[in-house]
Amino acid sequence: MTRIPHFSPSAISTADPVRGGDGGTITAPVKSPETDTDADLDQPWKVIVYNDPVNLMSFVTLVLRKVFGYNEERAQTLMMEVHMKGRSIVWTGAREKAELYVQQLQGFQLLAALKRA
Amino acid sequence: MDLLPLEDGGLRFLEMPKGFYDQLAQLPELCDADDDPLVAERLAPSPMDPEEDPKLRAEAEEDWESFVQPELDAAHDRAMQVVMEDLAAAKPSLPETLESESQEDPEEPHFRLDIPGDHLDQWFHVLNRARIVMAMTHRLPISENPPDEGEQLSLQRLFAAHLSDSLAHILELLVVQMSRDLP
Repeated sequence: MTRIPHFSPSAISTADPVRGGDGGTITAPVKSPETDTDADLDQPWKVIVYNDPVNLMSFVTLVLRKVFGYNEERAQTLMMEVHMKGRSIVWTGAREKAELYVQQLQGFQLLAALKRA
Repeated sequence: MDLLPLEDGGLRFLEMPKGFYDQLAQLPELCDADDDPLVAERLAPSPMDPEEDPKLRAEAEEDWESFVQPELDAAHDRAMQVVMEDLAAAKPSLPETLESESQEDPEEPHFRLDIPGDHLDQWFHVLNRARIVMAMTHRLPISENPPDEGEQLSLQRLFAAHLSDSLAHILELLVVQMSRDLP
């Protein structure tokens, strides 16, 4: 059974979570050789944002635009999905990049987490 | 209270009433979650979906707490420092104009508060965090958490709701200002 690697600290500190990321602040994460496997690298991860009764809708939309670089329409669609359905998959891809996104989203106090796709 | 855009993309609040300025000065306390484990949990949630494998989740949470949460906490501290420095730099001024029916004391000092363009992110973070902490501490919004039958709505909750709404208005202004810089 393949063991999913732990978070790699070297992949995490590339962007100030409060200042957020514009996509350009994320550098290529450094893989930790003792834990990465081919299966891990192939496995996509989902970044999920959950509904929160406090965060303003405009706030969530702006955070999605800042973190992922989405245009307003895309960000609003995802925000509405969070609002109406309680959660939305806002990004899918490599785990280390997904971790960075969750860090940035949590830096803006959004309820966000990872899940294997 | 009036608002002007600054050339650097920031915002200037003119004639901010002292009462509101004093409330903003309480932001460090408003954002403080140390005494309430539920608030602390909300501000530092698990990085893994609840449906994820429990073992994987536990490992991820342990690593997150060791490597990521300290960075998030440090970023919050930096943001708070920026906000408090902006507040400390606010200049007191007497209001130039007051509407004739205003209840404000014309002799009470008002403040001119500048939020530079490169501080908007920090204000965005701090104001939102204050709203989250207040919402959990005072069970806001009141419309979704009305008093039980026979229970009186406390003044403390009412004040908290009012302040939370005021911070939400500022956040909306920040969102508009910050959206201008995005593609």
